[in-house]
Amino acid sequence: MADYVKYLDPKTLNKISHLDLKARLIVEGYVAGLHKSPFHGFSVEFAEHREYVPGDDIKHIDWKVFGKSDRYYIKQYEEETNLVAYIALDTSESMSYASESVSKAEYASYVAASLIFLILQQQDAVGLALFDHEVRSFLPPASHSAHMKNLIQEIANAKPREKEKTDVGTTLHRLADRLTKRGLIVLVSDLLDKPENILRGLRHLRHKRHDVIVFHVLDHDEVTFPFERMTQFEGLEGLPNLIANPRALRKAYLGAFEEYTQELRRGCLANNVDYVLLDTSTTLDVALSSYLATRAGTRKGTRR
Amino acid sequence: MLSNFINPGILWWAIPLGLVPIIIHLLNRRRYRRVPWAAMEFLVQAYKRTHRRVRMENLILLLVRVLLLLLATLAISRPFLSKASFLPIAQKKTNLVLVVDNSYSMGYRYRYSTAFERAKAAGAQILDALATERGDTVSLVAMGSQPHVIIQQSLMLKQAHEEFDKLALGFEGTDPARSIDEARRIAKELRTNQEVYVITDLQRRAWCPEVPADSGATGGTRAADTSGRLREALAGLTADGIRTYVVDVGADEHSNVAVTEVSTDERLVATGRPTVIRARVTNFASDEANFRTALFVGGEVKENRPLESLGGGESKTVEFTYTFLTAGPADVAVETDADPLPTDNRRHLALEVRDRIRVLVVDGDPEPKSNIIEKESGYLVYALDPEFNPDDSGSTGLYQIDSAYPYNVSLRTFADYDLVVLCNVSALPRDKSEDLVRYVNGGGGVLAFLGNRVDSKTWNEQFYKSDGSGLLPGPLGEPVSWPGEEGSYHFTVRSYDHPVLKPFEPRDLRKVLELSPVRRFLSCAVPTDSSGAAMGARVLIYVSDDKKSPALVTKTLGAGKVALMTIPATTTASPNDPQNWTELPRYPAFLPLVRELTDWLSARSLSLRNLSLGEPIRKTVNRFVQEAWVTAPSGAREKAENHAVNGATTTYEISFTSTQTPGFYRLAIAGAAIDADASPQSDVFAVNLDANEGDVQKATEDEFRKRYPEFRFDYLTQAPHMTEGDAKPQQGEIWKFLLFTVLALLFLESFLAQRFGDYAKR
Repeated sequence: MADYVKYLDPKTLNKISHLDLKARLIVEGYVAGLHKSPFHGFSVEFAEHREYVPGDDIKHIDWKVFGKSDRYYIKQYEEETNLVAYIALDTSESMSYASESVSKAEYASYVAASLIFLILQQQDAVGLALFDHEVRSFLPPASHSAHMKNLIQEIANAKPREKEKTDVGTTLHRLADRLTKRGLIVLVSDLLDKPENILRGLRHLRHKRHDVIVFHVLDHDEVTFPFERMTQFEGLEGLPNLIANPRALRKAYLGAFEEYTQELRRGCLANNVDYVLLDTSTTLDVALSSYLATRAGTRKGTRR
Repeated sequence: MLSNFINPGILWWAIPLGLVPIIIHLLNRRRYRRVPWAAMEFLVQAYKRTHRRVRMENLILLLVRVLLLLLATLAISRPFLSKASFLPIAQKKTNLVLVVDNSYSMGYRYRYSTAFERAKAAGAQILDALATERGDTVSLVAMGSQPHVIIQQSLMLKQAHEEFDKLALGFEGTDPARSIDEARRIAKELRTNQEVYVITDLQRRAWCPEVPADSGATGGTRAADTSGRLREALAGLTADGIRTYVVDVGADEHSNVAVTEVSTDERLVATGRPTVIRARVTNFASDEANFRTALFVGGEVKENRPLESLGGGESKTVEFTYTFLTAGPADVAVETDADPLPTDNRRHLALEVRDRIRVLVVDGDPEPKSNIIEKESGYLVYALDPEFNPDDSGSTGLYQIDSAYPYNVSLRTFADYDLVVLCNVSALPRDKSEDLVRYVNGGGGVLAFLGNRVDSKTWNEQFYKSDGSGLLPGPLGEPVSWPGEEGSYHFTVRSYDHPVLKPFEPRDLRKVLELSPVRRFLSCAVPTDSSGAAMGARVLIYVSDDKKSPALVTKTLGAGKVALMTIPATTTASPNDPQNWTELPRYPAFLPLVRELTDWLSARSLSLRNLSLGEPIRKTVNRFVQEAWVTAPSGAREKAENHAVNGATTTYEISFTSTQTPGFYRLAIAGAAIDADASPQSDVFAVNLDANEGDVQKATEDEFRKRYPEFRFDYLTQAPHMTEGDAKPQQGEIWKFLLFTVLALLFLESFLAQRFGDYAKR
């Protein structure tokens, strides 16, 4: 069991070729990390009682049982399966940047695949949209396990296209128009677009009463800018090249970058959108935990 | 301005070296990594925001680096500020008078260079600043005990340079006043833009001599006089509006031990008996010094003395005893071991070692006697030569005695004798008396015993001069007798410090002399005040009468000496004067007294052979001289001048003037010897330095300015540098300053690079 944990490390995963296997390994690794606490949702339909173990939320303790038996029991419920999740995965050229072995696109695909696996395992329906400056492919949601194979195939086949710019804003508008059934939208992208465009798109989705979780995938280099020597930065997505001394630029770059992530983060918070910054060196369980937290929030209807 | 470099060749490296940082910068710009980049927008934004400042910072760093390398190169090429930069020389025609001290104290070595070497370096720099195009002139004066004008107002700078390079350290002392006067004279002739440079070690004793409060003493007046002349000379320079620079090349320390005097004990130097040689060693430093001394005779070490120590400023006499085995001229030198100023460590003494003393005894009693002892000179002759035989001249003793009487003394030439003894002589023929005075003045010795035969009136006429130029120390008077029948006067002695009385000095031997009886003596009025001493007279033994009349008086006259006994040398009473005068010849004191007197009188004054630097060698020879050669200490042989004196055919005077080097000068005479035995074929002379010059302590600038307030000058120093390799230290070098700047730039560069490059913190 413990061996699964290592598959949360993107570098290890990179050695495995099949994405579906990867997705499984991630989820099982993650579940294994939950200390034998099997996943159970919290729904309206009661399933059974279980003895309280430390770590359980005390709000689920059944005080009536406690009154009778003087023991702590937790109420468990059958999960609902009527959640529809859409995964919007960015396949623009900027996603192909890789400082180490794992590129942003790969990392994003692991995130997407493991989420699909997890969602389907929970009997929820999941759909997929691949986009760059427009939606490239769209697979409608379904909850049967055969659907997983299609989804993962689609993700595995998606390669970043050269000179294709990200246009998250437009994509989100399109999606908002297209998705009629209320659901959970998972956006996996490096979000290299104007923040106001992105936020406008997100607002549109929220307006349509979707729950949104944004996984902002960035490369480690993009976050820390560790370059020392004179470097020619070759612009992806058709941007011009630039020769510069990175040491001189670092402060200004990090400033600009911080400003941008802050704006995104603040915009998301204002719109009740969950924002998760993923650096390609972070382990994948962060993404899964964030997803589950959001989903739990969705269930309980904490969101509008 | 930077006008000169010690290593100008290195300057060529400045250009490529200065380019190095620029090339590195350009290369760095070319060598870059390629990185595909997604977040280009932020990068462009950052670039726009920073590139102006970054470029500025890069430029500053680049400049600092280039400057750093240029300055380092400059420092290695060792530029120096030529004096021209603070002189008006650069603009207009200059008439330069360069006075260079070449007295031997300039040979004082301090930190790898002597003061003279530093003086040469400074002088060369000053000359370098001149330019022929401007019509600059040079005059060059070497300053010793007198000025030596080497070049006067020459336009040929190159030649001046050569002459200056040739200038060597001399052996003279320093007398700045005369050289300054000379410089002033030359400068005055030049009229415009005169500049006088005096390069000296600024020796205190020459430039700021201490003038004792009591300037009555002779030394004091001389110092005061020197100082006064110098003051006048220096003030004259300022008064004439001549711009003067004093270039101080002296050392800050002064440790010097010198042999300042070498002499004998004033006795006759003869073969086969010990001669005492005294050397005076002076420590001119203010701290105690250790030294060794060695005695050299004939150029060979004869005695080495162990290490001795001597307090600062003190002097000490070291005594050597040496026995000469061969007769003839001898050279003696005493040397101390090496110190920073080696020139004055050795001092020379030329002597003549005698194996025979020729004595002419003039007996006042012409009557023949059966026994020699009955003659006036009998006791004396036997005292000098116990084997004396008037018929046999082949005596083996030290003294070779010739006898004469007043009537036949004219046949003798006094100059052939080392000593003339007058025994109770009534008077000499007039021409011979004049001869005798000349003989003493020329270095001869006369011993006179007085007695009943002496004609006081004639003696006073012939030999007494009130100005002290006569043989007699005082006029002779009447005989004085012991008043009673029995008993007698005896000798009294006040001081035994005269060489003649030395043998009697031990307390138990004094009686031997003092008990000698005197019943009668001839009075001689020797002045007792200082005029007597001024005439060279000194009473050694007194008679114990009321007036303390003299019994033995000595007098120096010219180069010679006279001793006068107021009693005869015999105990025999003459028929016309029945009382005998003294029993002295029968007393034990007689023999040592006579021998000490003859020794002292026949010892020739050393001053004829021992000369100061530059003093001419003179020798009078009583024979024909064809030519004479002098071998200088350097080994060079030069011909000496010789000429007959007063047209005489047998008296020649040899003279030799170029005695500019201390040491021994050997004279060799070629010519027909009339009497080969009487005048040797060769002779030796010693020339010595002015010992005072060894006091190298220097006067400070303040002291100098205070001493001569009316003298305006610029004070420059040529501090002794540490030298490396062949590079000579130069005045006004700025490499140290440059290296400090380089160091500062290095720190600045590191700081800037750190600050500009440390983007994480900003």
